[in-house]
Amino acid sequence: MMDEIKVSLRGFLANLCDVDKLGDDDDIFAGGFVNSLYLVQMLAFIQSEFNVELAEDDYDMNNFRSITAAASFVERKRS
Amino acid sequence: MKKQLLWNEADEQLRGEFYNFSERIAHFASDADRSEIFSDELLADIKAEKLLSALIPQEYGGMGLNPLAFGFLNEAFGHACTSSRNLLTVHSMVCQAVNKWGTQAQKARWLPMLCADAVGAFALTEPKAGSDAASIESRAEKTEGGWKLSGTKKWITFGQKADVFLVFAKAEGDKIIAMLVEAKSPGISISPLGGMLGARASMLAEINFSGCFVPDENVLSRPGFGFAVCASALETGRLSVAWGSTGLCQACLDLSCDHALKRAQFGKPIIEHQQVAALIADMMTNTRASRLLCLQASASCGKPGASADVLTAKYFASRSAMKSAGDTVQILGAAGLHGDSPAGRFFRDAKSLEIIEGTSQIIRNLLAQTARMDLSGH
Repeated sequence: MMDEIKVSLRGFLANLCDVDKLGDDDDIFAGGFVNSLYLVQMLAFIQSEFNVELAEDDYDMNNFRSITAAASFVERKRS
Repeated sequence: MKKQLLWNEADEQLRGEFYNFSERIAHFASDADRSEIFSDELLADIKAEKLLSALIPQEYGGMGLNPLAFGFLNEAFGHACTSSRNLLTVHSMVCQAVNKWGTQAQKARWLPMLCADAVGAFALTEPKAGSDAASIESRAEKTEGGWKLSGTKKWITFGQKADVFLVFAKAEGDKIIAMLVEAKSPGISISPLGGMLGARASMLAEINFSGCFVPDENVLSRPGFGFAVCASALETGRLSVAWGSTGLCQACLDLSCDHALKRAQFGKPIIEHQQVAALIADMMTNTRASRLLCLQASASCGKPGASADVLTAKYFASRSAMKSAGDTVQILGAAGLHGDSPAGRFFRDAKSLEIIEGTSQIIRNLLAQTARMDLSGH
């Protein structure tokens, strides 16, 4: 399940950056891979693609800092 | 024959009520345009009708309009006066942000206030940061119990009238933070900006923050999520501008038709001359197409894909308003160039619609990006 989520996230990120250079655990923010719209687009993508509703406490940048972090977050929300 | 509507009777009744009220606004529009002043009398009238509470849920004392009814309200305002619709736009953006991103305590504090008494304004743009919003230079430094805000915001619509600003700044490095700042806070100075081409009664201001203290409880969401707050508020703003543009298209069509029926040349009303008839036909088509795109945008609000629908509606309707207003001046001829006719105001106001809440060029970029994602399955 985790791997499927990662593949989906990578597919989404391919529209925003060169995912071939992005490791699963790389810091997306620190690495300069994306622009400021990333977080907005990632939030929208996660909500629509995985049918996840975000709560106030979910708005933590660490949840979206890397592909692994985002995939773990999605898995937690869906469990 | 009764016209078949794409909305229900209840929404149609609301639409009628909003258009009735907009006649009161239209009465002020020309003077407001000339004087560059949004009168306190008109503001009080709008507040008394609770129209500023359009997007605030009823549990907080607001009208709790659905996106379609909110659209009708903006169309009616846009038909009468773009500056008035601007008021509705920026205030509603602040209401939307508090309602979507605020904690229960923040909603309980701010929303009743924004229903009737307080005017909200959206403070993102800076002297060096417009479309590239991430390049803002305003900074919020953490201090005990809150933040010290410093920087300058420019072109802030209704900045001269606002009681509370939704301000975006950088904090903890490059994280964007969204905060509600009361206009009466120490450390704020507000300078009027006049001489605008269009929407001249929008009471624009430059706002300077000099170490202005903002308590922790005024921060919406968390540092780093300010851009998400901003994006969702902008979506509300774009929906508002799209519907307002449709209202302006309709106003152009009404004025052009009325003139073309009354004005006779070569022995017949000018609407019977094919060159003029073609302009009016295009105007009517663009007005209807704009309204349909706005209906789609309202219908998809809150659902996946809403952003693209809202962007499309804003892009098309604002361009249609510009085309319609230009053709209206043309149809009215010399009379359209004179200040006694609203045609010139429509023309100048329409240009602003292609710039505010995202220029047509930025929106094209965003739409192209959406098309690219659609193609790749995301």
